[in-house]
Amino acid sequence: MHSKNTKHLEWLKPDNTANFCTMVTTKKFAHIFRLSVELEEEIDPVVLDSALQVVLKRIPSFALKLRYGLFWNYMELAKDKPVVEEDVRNPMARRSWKLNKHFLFRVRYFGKRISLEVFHALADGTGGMTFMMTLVAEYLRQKYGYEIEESRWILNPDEEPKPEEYEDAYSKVARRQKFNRKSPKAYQAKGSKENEGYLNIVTGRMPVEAIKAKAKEYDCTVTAFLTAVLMDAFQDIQEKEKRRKIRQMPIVINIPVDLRKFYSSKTVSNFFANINIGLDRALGHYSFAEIVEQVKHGMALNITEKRVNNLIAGNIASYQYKVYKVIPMFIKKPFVILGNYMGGEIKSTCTMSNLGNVVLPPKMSTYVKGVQAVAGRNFGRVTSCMGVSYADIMSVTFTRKIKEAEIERLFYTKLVEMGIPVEVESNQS
Amino acid sequence: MSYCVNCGVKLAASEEKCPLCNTVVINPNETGEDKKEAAYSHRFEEYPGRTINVKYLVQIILAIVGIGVLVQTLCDFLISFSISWSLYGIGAFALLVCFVLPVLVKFKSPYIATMIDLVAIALYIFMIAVMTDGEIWYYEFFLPLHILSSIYVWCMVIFLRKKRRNYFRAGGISLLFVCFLLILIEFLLDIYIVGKVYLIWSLCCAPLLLAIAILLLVIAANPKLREEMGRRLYMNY
Repeated sequence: MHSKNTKHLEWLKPDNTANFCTMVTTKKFAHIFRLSVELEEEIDPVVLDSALQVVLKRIPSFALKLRYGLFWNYMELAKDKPVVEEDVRNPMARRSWKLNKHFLFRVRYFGKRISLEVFHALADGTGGMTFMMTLVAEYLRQKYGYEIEESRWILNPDEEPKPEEYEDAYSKVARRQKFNRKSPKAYQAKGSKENEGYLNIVTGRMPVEAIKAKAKEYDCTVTAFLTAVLMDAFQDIQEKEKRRKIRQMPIVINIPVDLRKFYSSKTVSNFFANINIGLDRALGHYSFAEIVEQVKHGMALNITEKRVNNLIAGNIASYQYKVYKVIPMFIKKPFVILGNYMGGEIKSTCTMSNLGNVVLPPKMSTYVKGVQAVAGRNFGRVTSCMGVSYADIMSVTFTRKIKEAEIERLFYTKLVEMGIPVEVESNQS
Repeated sequence: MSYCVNCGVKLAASEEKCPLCNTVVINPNETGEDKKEAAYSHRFEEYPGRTINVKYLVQIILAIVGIGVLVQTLCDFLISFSISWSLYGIGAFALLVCFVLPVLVKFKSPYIATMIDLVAIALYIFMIAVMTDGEIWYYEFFLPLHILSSIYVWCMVIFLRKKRRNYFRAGGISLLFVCFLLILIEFLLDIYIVGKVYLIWSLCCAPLLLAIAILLLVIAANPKLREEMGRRLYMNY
């Protein structure tokens, strides 16, 4: 089934992120994210299935399945074929990959929408979107005879896979250096737990031009602007807390940064680093303009090659200790989960992931109506946010595991108050 | 095209109420025909979690334990050319089979499965009593205790099969049982060892247990009291 270029993919040592994702996966939790593309016409599942088989040969790093070793997990090339399935009301709920023939992704369809749910061990948002758009392009070719044009998001399915597309880019670019990760515990919103196996998903769609104009008004990027709005929403919620200690906890937004911007890598696997931007709430209330300044300068300080390299180096170094390497998996796994919670989850309030602008070839964009990106469940934090823009629409989706929608209500209302029209859609109707 | 009067956001055609504040949106200009298809499928995926095939697991455990019992029986036979001490292991294995029988075979009624377990325990202890020349303690001490315990277990099975369970009543009955059991143990021990009955320690514990049991039974019989207690002990979490 797979080409000769995939010979060394037969079994693979997971990259840094994949290693982490597989180790913190439990019965109740796995890092999964979802990308959806809405077409102009109803989806044909037979054609979609056929397109999936073609694209999987082109991007074989998605055909990997997770295997459990004594000391470490590893990935192995799956021999059988994945199948497309009908979409559900509660996406990303199923953490078991058994029903997917152990493939670590799912392709689902409903009406005019194709959705891809990916386990983060396989790819990051950019890699996932590349797979998704290549799949859509191949679907359009098989369905309507569309001639595929290669672009940033689309690979040519007729080409052979290239080794640099599934390389471990982290270890290639990381330099040996000292790192310091001390940071205070961040504020986290609380609420009534949603039923097991269900995530509330609310998508807000807004005109890109309106967002850009507003960001320009504050002299910042779209990501910085949205992060500031999110921080402002959390500030409002935090101010209602009864205990002063909680009211003064910092609000920290976790922003994943695509490292392909800094290093010329063609990988479709993981290649990102998480940057934390904080608001020191012990200093008092911040106006929106002050928040924007904090975020803008925080991002400018942290999103530099030196800083992100230090982050990668730190992540890689934590797996390099010799003693740690030889401890059996079942012993170290609980400690890794605890370490992730204590060292990562509780130190940020929410994730704000912006995939950026998806630009498709003009002919293909006549078939594609909209794009949506949905972040998955977090281990500790109750909500996460993911945005993507396509054509003239930006969609910002909140995923939440609590019943109360106060965070997104404040977020979207603030945008409306600023004069940005927002259209909302959810999986609760 | 409707807007939420509370949040000011425009609602997608698939939304019947605002997903942010749950405000129902009624647009008099919209007829039912205008409704667009739902944004998400109506299919709800039940998440079963990681399921374990219990029957298969039990079979494996039985096979492993069975091999162990077989080996110890062989050792016993090869050493003494008779089956003596290995009978304890064989009996224990038979007891284990009786306990896990409901997993392997489907019983129509749980009472049958419970009865098999209780009879198996009585037989296993009887075997030990015969092998150690202890029939007297078996009949005078163990059997009355076992009969009383069996009645309690049956009561609990009846309770667990009820759809509306009153846990206060179950707790009260359980404490009453423990109370009688303590008295019976001391009574039987006195008869077996001394030959005369001097109830001391069981009578120290019994009044306390009896008082709590009566309290629980009173609460069980009084729904208004239960509701009042529920209100007072309510925890907002």
